[in-house]
Amino acid sequence: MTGPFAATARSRLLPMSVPFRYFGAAAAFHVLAWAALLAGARDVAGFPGGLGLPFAALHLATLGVLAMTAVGATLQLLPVATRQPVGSITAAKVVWWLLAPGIAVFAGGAAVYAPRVMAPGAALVVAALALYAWLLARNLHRARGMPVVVAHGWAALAALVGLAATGLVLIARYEHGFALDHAAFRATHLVLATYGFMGLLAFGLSQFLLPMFAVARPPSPRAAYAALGAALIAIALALGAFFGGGDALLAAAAVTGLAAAAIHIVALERSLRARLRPALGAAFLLVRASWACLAASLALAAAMALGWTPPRAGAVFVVLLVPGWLLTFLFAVLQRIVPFLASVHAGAGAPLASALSPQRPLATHRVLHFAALAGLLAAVVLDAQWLAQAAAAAGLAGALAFGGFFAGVLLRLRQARAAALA
Amino acid sequence: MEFNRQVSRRLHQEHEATLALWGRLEQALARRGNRPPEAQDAVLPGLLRSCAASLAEEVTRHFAFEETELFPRLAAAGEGDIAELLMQEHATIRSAARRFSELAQPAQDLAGCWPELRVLGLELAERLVGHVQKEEMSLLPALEDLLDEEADAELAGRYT
Repeated sequence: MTGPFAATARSRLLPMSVPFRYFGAAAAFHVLAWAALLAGARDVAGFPGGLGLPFAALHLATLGVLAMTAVGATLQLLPVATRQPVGSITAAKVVWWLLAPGIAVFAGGAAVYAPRVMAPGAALVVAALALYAWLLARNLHRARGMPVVVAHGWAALAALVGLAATGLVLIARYEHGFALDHAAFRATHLVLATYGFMGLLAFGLSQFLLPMFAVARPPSPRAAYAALGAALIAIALALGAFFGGGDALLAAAAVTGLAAAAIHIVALERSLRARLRPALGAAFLLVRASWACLAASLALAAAMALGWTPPRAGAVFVVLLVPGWLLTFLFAVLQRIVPFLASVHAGAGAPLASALSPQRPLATHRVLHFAALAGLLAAVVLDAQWLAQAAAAAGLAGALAFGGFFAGVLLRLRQARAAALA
Repeated sequence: MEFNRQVSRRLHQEHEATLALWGRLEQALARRGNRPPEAQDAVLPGLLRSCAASLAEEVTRHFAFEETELFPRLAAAGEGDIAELLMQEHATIRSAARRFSELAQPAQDLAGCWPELRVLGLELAERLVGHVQKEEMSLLPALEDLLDEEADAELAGRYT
């Protein structure tokens, strides 16, 4: 920018290329995740764990889409919340250069049952996450604003360390055959990744992002801390249950998690009810669907811990948790922040965020994402391979539509910049 | 978010008032679509005039205060690009506001200029919302750090 106020390196506004490289990679990995699931659809319903295409699809979704977006979004949004600039823009770029190829190699190795290929991919991913953890910790340590978001950030960071450590242990087991309680480590890794790192970041960022989108006052800090506290207790109980605590402890963990989710959702719904802008927009359909999936995943976890274990309940749980809650929530947020950030970087006479946001691909993605989610749940419940294939195909088409939305925003931004210069 | 500085609180209250008013207009314009208000409809023309008056008085004063008193402090604190971004948005909003205010005058034939007025109204509503969101996220929290009590009291006294 060349106006009266010169930009400086201390600014909290990152160059557009930094967050957008993460969002672009997430959109690409989203396509690959559904493609891998389509290719491995016959194994989805009865997936017993272990390597293969469903495993690759799961990690393309969790690392490729969720972690990739979380890193990009927090690099831009946390400095705004904490009133602290990112420690090093170069480091923020290096994280991407480690993470994106690392995920591709890791997932590719998993898809072809090759732990020796997975290991270097995992090493790149862990290096990327370690560098990101340093950036995150540095920012949180110096934070001056939004203590609620900062508290969630610290909790998510602790979960990130735990999920990386358990992930490395699991990889080492595949490669070297270490004797360990595989089920306990796998469950710990899943809980720390989903309810821990991603879930706590989602809870924390929701405190200011959702009210900002709706033009509403944020929920009370008391409710936010109560939800965070309950979520942390739930995660700790779950980890205790995995390492010998038993099913009663696991049920207590799920019920406590459900209480955390209820406090979080009720507080945000109250905030949204008092919004100043009447129209919420279609993104909030996705937000509410994601909350329903979060609650359903925890209710199912509680039921399973109490002995109600219909066939393939574990797979239903994973579908509710990953594409149901986390992916649905993430795409709701991403479809709002991508055009918003693009308009911020558009320069003089900036186009409206709505003018930068192609609506048709978003509507297509919404319908296909819901169809894929419902189809996947039905496929697992009914153990129907054809339905799993159809659901994965719908998910793939939806992912392509979301990719079209992302490309459309960039194209419109380019046109707007060219028009401003003309 | 709770603000401790008088200036931040004052600007925040004005943001809320602006959003409430323009939220009502946005909703009314969306409901009406391409049909201009009927001759006997006094509500929508009244709302349009309230929005035009708000732009002419409060928003102008609010923008000028930010540009002369606050953005230079933000820039001096190393956030020149955010100050620059907010300044550019002020210019864009002012430009749209001028035309909107002309069209919303009582003497105007609303039916004749309705398509342009409606588009401008919706554009301004979105621009004001986006602008307020950015100021609430970046400017007001920064003021909490940038202003000490003395500077805050002095600026609040000057902002009448």
